[in-house]
Amino acid sequence: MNLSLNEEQLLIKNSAEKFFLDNLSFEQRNKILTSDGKLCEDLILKSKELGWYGLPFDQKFGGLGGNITDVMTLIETFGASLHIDPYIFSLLLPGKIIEHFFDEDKKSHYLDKIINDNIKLAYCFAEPNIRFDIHKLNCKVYLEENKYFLKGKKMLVLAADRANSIIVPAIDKDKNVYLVKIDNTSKNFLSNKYKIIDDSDAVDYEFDGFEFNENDILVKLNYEEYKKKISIIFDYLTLAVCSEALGVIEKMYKLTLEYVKTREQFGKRIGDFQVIQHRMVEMYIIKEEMRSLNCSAQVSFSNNDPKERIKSISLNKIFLDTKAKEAAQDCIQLHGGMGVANEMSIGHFFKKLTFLSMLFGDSDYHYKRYELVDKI
Amino acid sequence: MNIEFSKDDLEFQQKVRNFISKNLSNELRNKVANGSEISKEEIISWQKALHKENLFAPGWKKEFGGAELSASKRYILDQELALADTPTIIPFGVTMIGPVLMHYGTPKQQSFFLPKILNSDHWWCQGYSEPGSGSDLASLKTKAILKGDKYIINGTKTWTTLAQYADWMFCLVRTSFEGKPQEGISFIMIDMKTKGITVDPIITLDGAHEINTVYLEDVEVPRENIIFEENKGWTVAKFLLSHERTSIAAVGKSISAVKKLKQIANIELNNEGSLLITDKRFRDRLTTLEMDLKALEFTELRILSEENKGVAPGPEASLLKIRGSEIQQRITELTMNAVGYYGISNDLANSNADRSNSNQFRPDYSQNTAANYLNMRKTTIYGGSNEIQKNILSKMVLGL
Repeated sequence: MNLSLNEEQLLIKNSAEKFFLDNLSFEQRNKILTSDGKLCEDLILKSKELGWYGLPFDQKFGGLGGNITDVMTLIETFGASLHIDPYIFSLLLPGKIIEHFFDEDKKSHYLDKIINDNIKLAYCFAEPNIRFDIHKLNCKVYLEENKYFLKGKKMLVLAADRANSIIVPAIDKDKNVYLVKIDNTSKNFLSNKYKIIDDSDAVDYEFDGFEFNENDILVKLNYEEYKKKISIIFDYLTLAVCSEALGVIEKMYKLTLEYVKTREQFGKRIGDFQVIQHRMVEMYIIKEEMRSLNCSAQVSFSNNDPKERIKSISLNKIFLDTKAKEAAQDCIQLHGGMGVANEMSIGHFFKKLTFLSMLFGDSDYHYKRYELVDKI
Repeated sequence: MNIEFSKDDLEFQQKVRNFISKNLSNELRNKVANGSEISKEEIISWQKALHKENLFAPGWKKEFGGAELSASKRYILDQELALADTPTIIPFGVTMIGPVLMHYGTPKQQSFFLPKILNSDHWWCQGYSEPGSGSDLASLKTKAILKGDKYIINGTKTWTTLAQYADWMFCLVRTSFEGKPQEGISFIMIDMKTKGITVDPIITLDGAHEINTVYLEDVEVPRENIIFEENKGWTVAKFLLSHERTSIAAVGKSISAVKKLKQIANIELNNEGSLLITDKRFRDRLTTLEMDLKALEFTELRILSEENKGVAPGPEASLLKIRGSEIQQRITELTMNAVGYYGISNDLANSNADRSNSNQFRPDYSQNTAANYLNMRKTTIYGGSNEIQKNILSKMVLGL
């Protein structure tokens, strides 16, 4: 048994922390976010030199063949530094889609493009009226006079604004699922770009009889098979979200601890009050529990037991949306007025956590999912 | 024991409803309903309309131009205004400095300021907190030195809500460094147009500009602007805080917000495709929230009922602030859950964006959900943080 990071993972962690220390201080981050986007792309290109884009993928396809702990360790550092690369959505999600769904030829071609070239893809995982259930598809494919058409809505497509193409999953009347590649610059559908509370961008799409070529169909498979594959992919991504959130909570805890140690009221540090001490201890316990649950989920992935994996991932997500969220709220409270001022970093971590706690399902969704799998 | 309204009360309720339907435009109602920013002009014209019907200062004595309404009528008014999505009245004038002036002001101060507060000709802000003095308000350092018949004021006030609109600020300043910190504080009114005042915006988590830092540099204020006596400002501040505590329980606003949340849950679907309101897990959370809100409402009514008998609210009013603020936060949190992915967009940033070629399948009720959730974090911090309210209860009520 070994639940600590190995030397390589420590190297990943340390070099990422060093990278953020040099390139993404809170002030640098604000500057990048208020600029036109070029600074952001420069930073991402620089980060790619560290091999981050290859890490999650097989060497066969130009990746570095990192394991789950390698990847989660890296993503945790993103949370602690509020990294502005939408790595989970522009690399991990499309990459995992390619890895699980595409045939070998296409796999090599596309993985190489997103890892090594600057080709960006975005996957449309959410639709209105299906809430958090990634298995449901209302977006339709239909054939008319041998031409293919798309009809439906996709929402919250993250990292879509900078993507060259988007991948749209849709279903036909015979319950075949198509993954359709669409040129993001096309004018033949409606789109609406907007800001998310963590300062990232998302796009909503509406396809009303949008015509596409047969060549744009990346994958066609039956619905049952699609469900099985998409489930594994999103468990992996949900764990990535929880790992990023772990980095956020660790940092919020540190910032708050520092604050109660320095902020003085009534002639002493506010951390000298027992009520504050107990709350900080509670927060400390919560972050440790969160890390332990994260370990359990990583282990469940390696064990190849789908039931255990699903349960473990859902426990992580429930914890994030309940206890971690409460801890984050307490961090704001203990900062007093400073906690609600945008000029302080603590609030930006809070917004990131608020976003992550809802992404890929809130606690209600995951309680239910756990229940369904745990049926005796 | 009953809460039946008298015939007179019911007539009053009808009068308020008529007033609202006649004076509140649909446009303004929608803006309030979806949490959009209400302009200074809109607020002032709404307050003026209320005043015309003598509904603006329900708690003020008649001799000062108020309506001097009974506790039950004030409760009715508060509820009706909240449930109908009317703009929130800015409290700094009519519910804060107004009562202070009526209680402690000189006849000259009263006759100059009170009519202008009633008519919303003066916009007030509150200069209490300082960068180093939040929960420990008594440690404040803004200095006022008497020079002839003027005070020269230097210091910094912060978290000053809507100071960017203010004509006047009531302010706690230090006039003595002797004795206990509370004993050297004075309560003074400052004309915001005076030389040496700079108002700097503070942007909050939701991206809005509501609060400010106010820098005071050699600001000259006439000695007659002091309220009550020099070095007796803490007494005035405590009087004011007890008024603020009851009003920030925001029962009416929360009842209205829960009603809206229920409407959303009657449209949104859960993960299985049924109406969210039928989802057991969601419904239980909503019911728990309603339970706590009902308890808060009747706690407030019990305090009002005592007040009807002439008993002023004591330190136990702190419990209204604690629970009222927590409930406000929980409603916005559950609303986030109710609207799902619609709720995490930054609508304030998006409202400035280009809307051409945009698809508008996002429901109106999801507007500003995240902004409200983020903005409501302030409620457990301001007005004396909930930690301070607990100290008050523990000391003054429990005797610990």
